[in-house]
Amino acid sequence: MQFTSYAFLLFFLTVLVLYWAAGGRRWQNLILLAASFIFYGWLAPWHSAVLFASIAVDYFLALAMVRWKPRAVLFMWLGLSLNIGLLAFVKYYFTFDEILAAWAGGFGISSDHFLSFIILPLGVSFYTLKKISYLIETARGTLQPARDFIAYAAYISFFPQVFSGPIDRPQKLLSQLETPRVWASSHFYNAWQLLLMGLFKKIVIANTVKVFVDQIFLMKEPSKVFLIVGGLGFTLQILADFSSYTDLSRGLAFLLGLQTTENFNKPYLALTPGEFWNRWHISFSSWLRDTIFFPLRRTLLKMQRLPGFLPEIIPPLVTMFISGLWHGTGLTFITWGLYYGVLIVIYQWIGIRGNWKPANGFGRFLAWLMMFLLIVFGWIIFRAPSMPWLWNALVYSPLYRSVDELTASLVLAIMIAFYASLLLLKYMLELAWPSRENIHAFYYAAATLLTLVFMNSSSPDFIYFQF
Amino acid sequence: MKSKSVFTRYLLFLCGFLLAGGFYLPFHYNIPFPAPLAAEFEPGIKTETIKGINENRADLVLIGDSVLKEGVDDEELSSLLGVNSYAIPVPGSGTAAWYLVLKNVILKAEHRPKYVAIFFRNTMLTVPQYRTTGKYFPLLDDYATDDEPLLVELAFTSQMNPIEKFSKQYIPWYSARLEIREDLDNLLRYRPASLLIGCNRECTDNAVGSIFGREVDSAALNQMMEDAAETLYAPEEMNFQKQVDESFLPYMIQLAQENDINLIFVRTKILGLEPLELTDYAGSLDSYLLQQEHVFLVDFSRDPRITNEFQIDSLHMNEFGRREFTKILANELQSILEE
Repeated sequence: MQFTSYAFLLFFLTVLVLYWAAGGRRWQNLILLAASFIFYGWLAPWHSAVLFASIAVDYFLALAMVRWKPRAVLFMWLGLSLNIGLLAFVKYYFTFDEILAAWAGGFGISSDHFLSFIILPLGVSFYTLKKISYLIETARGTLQPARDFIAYAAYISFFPQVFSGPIDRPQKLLSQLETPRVWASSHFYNAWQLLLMGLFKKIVIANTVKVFVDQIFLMKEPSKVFLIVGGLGFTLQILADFSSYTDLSRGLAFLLGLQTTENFNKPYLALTPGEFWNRWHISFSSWLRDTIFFPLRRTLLKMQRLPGFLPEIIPPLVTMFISGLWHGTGLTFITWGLYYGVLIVIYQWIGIRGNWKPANGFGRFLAWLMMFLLIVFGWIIFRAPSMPWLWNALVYSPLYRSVDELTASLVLAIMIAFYASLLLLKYMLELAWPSRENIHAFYYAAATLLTLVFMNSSSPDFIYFQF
Repeated sequence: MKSKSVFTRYLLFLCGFLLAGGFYLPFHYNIPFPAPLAAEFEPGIKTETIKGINENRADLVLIGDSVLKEGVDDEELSSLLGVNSYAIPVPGSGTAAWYLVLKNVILKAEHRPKYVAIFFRNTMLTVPQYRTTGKYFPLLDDYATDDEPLLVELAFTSQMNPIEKFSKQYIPWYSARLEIREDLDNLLRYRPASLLIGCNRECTDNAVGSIFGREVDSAALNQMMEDAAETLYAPEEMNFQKQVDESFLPYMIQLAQENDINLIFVRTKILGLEPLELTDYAGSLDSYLLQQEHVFLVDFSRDPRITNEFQIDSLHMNEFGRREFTKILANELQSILEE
């Protein structure tokens, strides 16, 4: 059930009415939990059963950590193994299936027996990270485990974010679920702009740009001009697509009286790779930072025999490698992750860290341009169908093969620029006239009409569902 | 900035736009108000295929999408079977187009074939809206007349939710959306190219068309086809009993039976993975087809004779596959034709 579907609209309105009619924290959480399991099990009810079982295991493991403190680390590792095991199974299922089929074929057993697949549950990557945070923080003693199972289960399975985040920490969302909620008109006024922009970005920008981005990345041997245009297009598409999901998710949460994390903060304005990751998929990058980067760095710093540069190099490389692995099992994702690890190391090496900013405007522009080009190149790696394909395109393909290619690239670049300008315009209005209500209201009305005009134009799937 | 106040102003602007559009757009695009719910087709149909059936005096007509086009050599099939065969492959088509080909092409031909073979896979036969909108619409229009109530009902109207129906009829911004999008697309596509590099409409079309005709990366294509197939693997689409009465399948069978045509459904092979739930669906479809008179089923979906060597991707055959599959098909059809 997609956020942009009619079925979801009916589902959400029913939940909303029941939720606010129920009153009382316990009933609200129960309705939220039931709604989340219906939503999650919409494709296959057993998905909800798997989710429920894994939630229950973590809940009891966290309680056991407090009950038997000396064994807390053991319980934590047990929980981590189960969660990472489930995640690995889902990520590598198809690889296992093919290996098994090939192995059986070797014994003369028809591989047709294995040529069928189960519809794998989505969103495992997202809720697994929530659960890992919960287990680690409980084991460290920085978080008291939840006593209220319903609130905890509603936190993990919270339907507006179960498929694609944001990956809210227990301190942020669970604490809100443990307190009573009362309807206020501010819930609606906080939500409507997010919902509208979510639909606009998805339907008008992401779905439209996707059509020619797909076409370029489908080519067997694209020339470099197409690779550049495709990279620019995907840079826009993935931001519009993923941030639209976050907007919709946050808007829905607001309507339920819950405030969730902002996931994007103008990421393409970053001047350094570190800053990019502070602005892009914020809930995920802060999870990586707190769960992997800092603990690893602290551990390495304690090892006195290690050369001094290793605690500087290893944490970003390992963290970004894991980030790549989390996004997918293909070599392109791992390369993309490592690419960012290497970029962070290089920037650190030349003395550029975190929120570094050149003093003058021209310097800032150059730093931005450099970073933007690096980001686009990163997305080309990410979107490439395979590494050999990318290698061929980068090394062997000509800049262009004919005048037709240049013309087509120009036309596509203009289209990308047009759809990017719709987003840029909003940023500029916010910057230039932050309090001119008429201008903003006009923009939202125009965005609504464009959404109406672009409805049903292409695929409704969100890119980040696959991770 | 107060969100409540912005919302009020937003509503005022939106109402203003909707009203202005309500007056201007129907006039500008010549769309009646309220707009008709149904899609409108041009009156004529493509007649080359009718001619093809007549000229070939085809007794066996094959219908399908690009899988048929790439997979079967109809001339070779004719010589192997000793029966005149004629293929009408419509790349990018679905069951809506096949219904139209049966009704408006085969039944309108002077020479009436004895057999019609329909090449399908997975749940295609019972998903009436599959490949009917957007870029597929003109393809339907090639075979539709301006009076297709069943097509309109099954592929379009019954697929619309109440909000969509209301919007289509009463909100011109929505009912004229294809025309508005085309205008915007034309503006972005032609005007800048003409201003910047002096490339006119034809020059731009040729340039953009050249990208879309390129050789594609087969791994990426497979991935895209799998993504597209997700529509056909949606849980509701795999519920055969629920879908069959809302599909073109019973109508195609009825049309064939009323006109003494034997229908042969040919299930083609997909290399790779399929959902487990499809097994139940396929079982129900098979029982349904076998209960019908003058209806036959040939199932290649698990045929070990069709190997990876035959295919260029998960669906389509290469030249070698085409030659070999035509022989295999002839072999299977022979027994049906002899009955």
